[in-house]
Amino acid sequence: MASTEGGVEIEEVAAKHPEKILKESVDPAVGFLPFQGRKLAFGLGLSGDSVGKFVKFCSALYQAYVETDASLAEINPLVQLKDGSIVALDAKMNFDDNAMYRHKDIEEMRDVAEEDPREAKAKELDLSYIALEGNIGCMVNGAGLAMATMDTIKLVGGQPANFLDVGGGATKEKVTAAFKLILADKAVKAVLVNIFGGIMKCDVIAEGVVAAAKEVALTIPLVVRLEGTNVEKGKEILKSSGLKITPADDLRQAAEKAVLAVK
Amino acid sequence: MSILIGKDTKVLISGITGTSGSFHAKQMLEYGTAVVAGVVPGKGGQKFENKVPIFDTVEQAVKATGANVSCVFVPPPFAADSIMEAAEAKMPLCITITEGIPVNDMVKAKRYLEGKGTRLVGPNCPGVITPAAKCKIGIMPGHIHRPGRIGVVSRSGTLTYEAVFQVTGLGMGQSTAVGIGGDPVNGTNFIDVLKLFNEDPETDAVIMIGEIGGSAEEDAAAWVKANFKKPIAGFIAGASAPAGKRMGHAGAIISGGKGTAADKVKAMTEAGYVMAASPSELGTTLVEAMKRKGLKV
Repeated sequence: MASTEGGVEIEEVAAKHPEKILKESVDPAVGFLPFQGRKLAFGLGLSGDSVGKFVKFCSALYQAYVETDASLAEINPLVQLKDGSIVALDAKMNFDDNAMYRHKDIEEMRDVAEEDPREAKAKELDLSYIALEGNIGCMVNGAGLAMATMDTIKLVGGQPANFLDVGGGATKEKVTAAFKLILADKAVKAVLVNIFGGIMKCDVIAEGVVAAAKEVALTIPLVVRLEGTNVEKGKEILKSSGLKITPADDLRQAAEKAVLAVK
Repeated sequence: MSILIGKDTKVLISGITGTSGSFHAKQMLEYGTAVVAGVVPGKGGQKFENKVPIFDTVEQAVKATGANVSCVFVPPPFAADSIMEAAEAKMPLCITITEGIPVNDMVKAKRYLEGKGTRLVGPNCPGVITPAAKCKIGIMPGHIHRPGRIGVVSRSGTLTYEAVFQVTGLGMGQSTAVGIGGDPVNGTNFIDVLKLFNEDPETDAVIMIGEIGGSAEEDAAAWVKANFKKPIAGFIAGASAPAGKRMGHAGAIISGGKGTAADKVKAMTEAGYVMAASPSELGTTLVEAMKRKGLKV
């Protein structure tokens, strides 16, 4: 993408003056081609020596993008000097987290101090966690269900404190680590655990939740919604645990109980 | 009848000796899936669980066993290669479970697949299951499914299980349940699956579960409005997600104000979907959608 209207909200330009944004799609089999660079150069109003220099610049930018597994490589502003040369005055690059295993040099540049400390800790524990503003901590298996759990809390008038996907396993170790992470947020006044027991059965998950809650000496209300195989056994384990666990039958009910608990 | 997989499906598992590959291969065999081959470079000639022959290459496995669906469990750095190997061996369907494949690898693999006649499902998906044919390819819990006439298609694994569980609980069952995966670059999309369900005489109604990020749901809604004949219920996860944050799935991100749940829900409602406000209501919403179209439940 290229535009002469840099320096402002590009989304706004796209909405109001779509003709001012030039786009070229790259075929990954052959990469960025010189003619595409020329189309962009002439489209931007460049002429003379600058055209060739711009084409070379674009090819190099594309190469840098591909070779570093970037998800974004943005030059803004890009300037044309009096002698026709093309110079980048600033740049921004984002990278694909999934490809960092082959870019140790980029990984080393990660500044953990710039990240939310809890999100950085979660990354270490291999948990998918995002801190939010609310007071109901969430622990869920699966990204989609974790999002839907937050949505349902909001739907019934509460505020989720986080997004947290413990993954398919939901083992005692993972659940304990997840509890610690959630409780490190002092705004959290109740925890909602929502787990669909599929391959891993509900009684096994319930045992894990109880053991984890005991290990972290949980003092705030805990609402647990389990569904799936052996759900009755699982509920029985929660009930006879001696812990103050509020069981729930479905997600909406669980969210309502969690909201009630923080009021 | 069913879609994508059925009684003639013969499965080859790439990465059958890995931790998750071996665990799920056993689960698939227990469910009744015809797992006819495994592929692990260097382990050709061995047998998995004393019965499934292992080959060094996909080509050898296909030649020897007639496998027609590849299921990929290999780790992210090598997964795109396995997908392309399945395409080179002319396998009609490749279901990729692996999560965390670099986007660049998938961009190349998808380009490589063009014109090859191989349909890719996934990556980063729970797989595909057709209960009536006892054919389960992927990581979903088999026993919550039951043969029936409801199609399920979803970007999320656990939300698919929620939908399936509720459908089964209501006394209905599934024709086929398809997880298309949570990655931004994937193979089969919603429209591909909806087309198949639309034409499948043994699917009466469909549940479609989407999430924030991208425009796959809006595209599907436009297609449904013009073409889809059957009752359809929907749900979108991520209404409460903050913009600019990747919600677990690589593709679940609101960027530049695009890909919000509100936009998707609006597009789907206008296209005739009956939308569930929460996943607790997936089953009852489906029933509502069927009643509105005059179907007996």
